[in-house]
Amino acid sequence: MQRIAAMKAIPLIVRLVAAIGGGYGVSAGLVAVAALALPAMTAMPRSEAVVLASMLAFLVYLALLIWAFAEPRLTRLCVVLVAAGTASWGAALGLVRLASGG
Amino acid sequence: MEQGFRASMNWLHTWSGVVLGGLLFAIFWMGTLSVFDREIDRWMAPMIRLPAAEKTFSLEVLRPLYEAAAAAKSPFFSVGLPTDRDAAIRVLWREPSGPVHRFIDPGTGVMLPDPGTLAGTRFIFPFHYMLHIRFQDIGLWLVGLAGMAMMVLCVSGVIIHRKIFTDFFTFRPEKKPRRLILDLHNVTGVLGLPFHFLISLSGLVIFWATYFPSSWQVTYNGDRLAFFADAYGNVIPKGRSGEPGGMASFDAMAAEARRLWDGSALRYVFVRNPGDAKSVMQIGRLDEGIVSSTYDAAYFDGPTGALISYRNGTAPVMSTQRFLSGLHFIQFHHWSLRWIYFVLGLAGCVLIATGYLFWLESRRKKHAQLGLKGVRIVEGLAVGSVTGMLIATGAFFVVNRLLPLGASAWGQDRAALEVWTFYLVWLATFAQAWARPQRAWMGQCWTVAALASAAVLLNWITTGDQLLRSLSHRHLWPIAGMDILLLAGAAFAAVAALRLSRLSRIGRVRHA
Amino acid sequence: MPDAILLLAIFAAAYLGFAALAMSQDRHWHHLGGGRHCPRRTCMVLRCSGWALLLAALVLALVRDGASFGSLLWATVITVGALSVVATLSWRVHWLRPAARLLQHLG
Repeated sequence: MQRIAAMKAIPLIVRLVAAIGGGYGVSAGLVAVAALALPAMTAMPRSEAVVLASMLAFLVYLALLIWAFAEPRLTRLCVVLVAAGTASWGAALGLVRLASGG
Repeated sequence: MEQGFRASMNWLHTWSGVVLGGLLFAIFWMGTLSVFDREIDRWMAPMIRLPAAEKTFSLEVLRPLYEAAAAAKSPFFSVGLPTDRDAAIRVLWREPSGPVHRFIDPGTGVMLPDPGTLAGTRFIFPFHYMLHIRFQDIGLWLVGLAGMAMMVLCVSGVIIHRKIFTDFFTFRPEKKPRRLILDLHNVTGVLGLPFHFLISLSGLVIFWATYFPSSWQVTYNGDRLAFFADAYGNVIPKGRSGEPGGMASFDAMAAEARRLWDGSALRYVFVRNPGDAKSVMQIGRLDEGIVSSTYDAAYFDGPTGALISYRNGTAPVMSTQRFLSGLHFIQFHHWSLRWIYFVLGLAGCVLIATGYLFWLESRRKKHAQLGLKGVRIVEGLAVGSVTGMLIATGAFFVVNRLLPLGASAWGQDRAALEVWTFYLVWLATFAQAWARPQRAWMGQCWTVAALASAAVLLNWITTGDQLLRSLSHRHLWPIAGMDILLLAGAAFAAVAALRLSRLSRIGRVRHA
Repeated sequence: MPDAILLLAIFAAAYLGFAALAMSQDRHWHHLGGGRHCPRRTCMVLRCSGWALLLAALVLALVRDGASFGSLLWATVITVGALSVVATLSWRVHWLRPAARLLQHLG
């Protein structure tokens, strides 16, 4: 309790932004990848993949939010979120370019 | 690590609860009332307290209103057809001056006078999912944030609860207030957990396309309409042609739609581009016999009345989404479930309110000793969000029965005056709670009791539908139900106020 | 009418099921006039019958309303049943005393 109760203002703000904003960014990136990859890898129709990815995203975001507040090391939290965000959005945009015949 | 994890979850539970509790209470309270939104409509708009609609009536009674909408170049003409809970036809279109909402008696085809209220379906229900903040969808996003927070609170609450199974049934009303409040918070939280988690998740899932737009943006090149056309089979004309066009027989198209779905009843009629050569008529299916909220619709070319396409059933994932939406919307015909939802919704309100109270009770002494202002600020927030919300709702009902039809003041029409009353009264409850925190809970409980009883009395005086009369007529049962709940609420608030005044007297004796 | 009776039966099964589960806990067993600890055999009987009653409520709900409405009804009714058990234990504990006494004699 002490460790977190004594959180200073700046690390707290960083954690809040990382959890709420970063967690959302990563979830949205993963949604985009899943919505693109599922129809390509399985026989699932495109519209179905979009809905499935979006519904699961709420649970992914929930897990990320919980973890963001449970992770003691703030740097690790930020590094992982930035890495996951870059990877998922990079993959999504790459897939979009691939699909449009680039 | 285990200790650290639990401690961080405790921190998360405490502070997300304190910061978002007010918002969550408002959403839960309005959602609980929305369970009976159409019944509230009947109570607040007495002109629609009609006997159940005749099974067959001609949709042609809508033609004059349709012509009015076409003349006003309204982008749409929307008709809600009567159901078991709703005896009147609801019509909505847009005039240059603003939206027009009217009821029609299906028995006679007569347009009923302007109800002058947004009532349950147009004030309480939208408040529940978007707080009436339309700008940039901020309201919708705030509710989404609160929904995520509710799930976080559910999970973290389970993690920090040390004796979840031993305390499963434990509520000790004879204990000290702090223990009693925690017991009540734990019991409603743990037992209500499946409902609260599912209702938050399903609420979020309804708006998945708004909350996670990245999914359809990357797959459909950012074209929302293309996605909806693919997923739901929507037929949406691209703009108006500018040429005037007629409208084929409503009844013929409705009969065709019914035939497509094996005689199923219809829920709505929606015309895009009324009066234009490129108008499209959409007719929706009513299926009250299943949990899912169906997207089944038939599309007709307006001027010719020819069927463009129709939809019957959905793919597996979409069916799951429709099931989750349906269990949240409860538009199905199941009165037992409707009442259970109401009770469990109230349990959610109790859960949030006791969460606040526990925070306050466990810090009151310490903050007083240290001279901190936290308790005072949060207490004002808690009073205003809990009893203040109840008072504002009560005032909304009371002013609805006090204002005559067609009333207006300061350039605001009757419906706007009701809404202004709601917000101003709500604001006043916060002001009172911050100004006089000692007596705020008790005083506001008395106000709730007074407003709820006044609402019942005013309903009797202005409409003559007192409890005995409304109980003896089937079509007035919704009125009876609302009056009984108001009286029960008044009694409950009065008992709470009496208890609080006794507690404060004991407190004063002890201090003396 | 059978619908109403079935609904009542579902609620009764949920209520009794949770009441049995509550009684099997030492705190409530003691509160209901039993010893400090619920005897092991009685505890087992109570737990098994409690779960069996909850299962029976599920079966009745499925019979009454079919798979989707039935499961939804069950999930929500058992919450109301559990809350009612809590209310009974808090304010009308004597309603459950005879059951506890009977079990003590049998145990």
